[in-house]
Amino acid sequence: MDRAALLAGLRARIARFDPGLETARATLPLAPELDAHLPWSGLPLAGLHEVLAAEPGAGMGFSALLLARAQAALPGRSVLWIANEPDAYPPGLAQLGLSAASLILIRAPRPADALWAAEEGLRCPAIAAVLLMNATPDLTAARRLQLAAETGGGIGLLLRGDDESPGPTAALTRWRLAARAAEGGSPHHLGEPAWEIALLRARGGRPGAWAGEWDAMRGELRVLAPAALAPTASARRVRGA
Amino acid sequence: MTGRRAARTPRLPLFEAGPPVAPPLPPAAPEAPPSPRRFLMLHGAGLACPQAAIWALRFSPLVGIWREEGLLIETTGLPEPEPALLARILTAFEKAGHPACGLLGAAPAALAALLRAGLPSQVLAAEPDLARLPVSALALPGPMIAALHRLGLREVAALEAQPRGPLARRFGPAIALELAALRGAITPFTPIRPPPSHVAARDFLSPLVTAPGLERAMGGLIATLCEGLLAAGEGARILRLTAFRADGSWQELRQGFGRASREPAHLLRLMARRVEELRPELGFERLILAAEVEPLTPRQPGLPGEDTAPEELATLLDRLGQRVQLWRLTPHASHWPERAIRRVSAFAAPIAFTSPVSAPSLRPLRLLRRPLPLEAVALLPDAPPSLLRLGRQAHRITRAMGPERLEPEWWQGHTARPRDYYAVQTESGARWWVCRSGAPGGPDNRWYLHGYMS
Repeated sequence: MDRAALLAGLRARIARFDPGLETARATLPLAPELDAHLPWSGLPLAGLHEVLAAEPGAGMGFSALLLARAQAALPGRSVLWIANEPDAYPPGLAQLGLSAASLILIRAPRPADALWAAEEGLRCPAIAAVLLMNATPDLTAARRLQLAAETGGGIGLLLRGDDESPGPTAALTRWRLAARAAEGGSPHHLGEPAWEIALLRARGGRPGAWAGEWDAMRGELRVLAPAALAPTASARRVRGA
Repeated sequence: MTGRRAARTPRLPLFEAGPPVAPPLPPAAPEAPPSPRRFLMLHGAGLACPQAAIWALRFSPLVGIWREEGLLIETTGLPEPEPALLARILTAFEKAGHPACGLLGAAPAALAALLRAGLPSQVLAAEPDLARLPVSALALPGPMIAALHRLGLREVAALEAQPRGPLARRFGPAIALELAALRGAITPFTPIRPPPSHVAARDFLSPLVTAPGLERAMGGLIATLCEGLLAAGEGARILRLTAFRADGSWQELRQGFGRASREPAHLLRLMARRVEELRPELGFERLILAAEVEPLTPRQPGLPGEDTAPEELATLLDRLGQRVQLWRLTPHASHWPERAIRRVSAFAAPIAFTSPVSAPSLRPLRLLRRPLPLEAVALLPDAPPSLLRLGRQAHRITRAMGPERLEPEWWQGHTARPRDYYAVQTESGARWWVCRSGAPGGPDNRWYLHGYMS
């Protein structure tokens, strides 16, 4: 057996042990700068991702953007929104490209039910994305969700409030989203949605921080140069981590 | 010509004469039974109630309550010989604490009249002798029977000998109808449950008590049912499991499906989750699984990677629906924010939202079901707020868009106070959708945080 084939075989075996290392997998495009930074050159599908929201609106906006991208990448599939009291408002979500036509809301007051519903949904090949709000699965539960997502091929999102010590995670990536005043705008105009996007953790990748703006007209996420960023609280936390 | 004539008058018979063949008889007129349908009428204390009638469904799928005096069980086509069937049913009722006497025969009205006259339980094979039946055993009102007695009509034979016209003029049509029913005219009766088109049933010699046993039994029933459904090209929308205990009680489980299905694994998974709701007590003796169906054409599976089958989503939603509440949102023509969306069933056809034309950028991502009360400080009564206090925390407002004034939809009969909506951005960058309920500068206007914007 020649050396290249041997290496490829070994890589395939390792990839089976840890699918997070696999390089060639379907991904969602976010923005060119973010895609270049992520080890998968995009946000991988068939995986679990965690979004910490320093502020509810910003976290929701980024999650809705990911759900919309998953919807576009996997047409014909549905999106599950699991929460204690799901309060999605489609007229607003449509601005981020998320269509309510395939959105199914699930009310799960008990955390065990919410986790179960998320796992069942992720395992199903008819589901593009599952958003699980304010759930804090332990490592085992998160690992189960990750395996379920690998089976079904959809994307799992854990959206929860930010706290100082989020603990270990089995998710592929962990983001922290904070709101930011938009560049343009005036006291009487809010401007485009603007976020501070911090990548706290990526399996096999480096953390990073960006300032992003949602361009509703073009339907794309615009990333300002990281150099233009003033050192903010979240960026300092990343460096300390 | 000669040849043809010779052929007409052959010297030899065309074939050897065998034994003389009898001319074919016209087919014997079949011994027409008075009515091809057979019924069992049961009389007893406390039988004419839905509780007992549903329990009697274990014997036959067609059971009705007969004129608030007894149970009528249709036994047409049951495989057991009739005397054995009658004995079994009477024993079962006696064990269940409802001793009854029953007659098995053709005309329900005649059976009821004979039972009222005191005939013991038996199978009436031929046309029963009704001539000597007293008039008082007929299902006629008491004053009418007394009037017949005054006329000297005490037996059915005497009544039947009378010309119908004068009877009908004096007593109305009741007597004629009753006499026709006695002679086997079809009398309608309403079954307690409509007969299902697909049924699987099983008896258990030793009563079922444990959950694994029940699950196994259910698996067997579902497999049988699904074979029938496949042959008929139909799928089950609702499964109804009726479990009968020995003591005359029963329990029913109803499980609906979002989409017709005849896949045993899926049906069993949903039903098995409900096993814990069954309370066997002393054990179930008989399980009947009935299906309400709709046509289901088989679907050719696509290649892997093509669009997923709608069954995948339907089975997932069926499973989720057992433990959690789920719905879709559809748009509704209203300017009032919380009325602009409606909840519909998760199985409903999806409808796309179009973003509102009036203010495309002024809608939140999440609309709080319970708006959070705020305290606001504004420079002027009708100016946007400059400081908002949520709980104990004060947020200085750096930017505000608005107001967007919404009036209640008076043409729909809604009465509410007008609202002024603002999209505000706090110092930290958070964006809120807040509203003032009530007129600006009014004495009792309130501020609420109604949604989060991105």
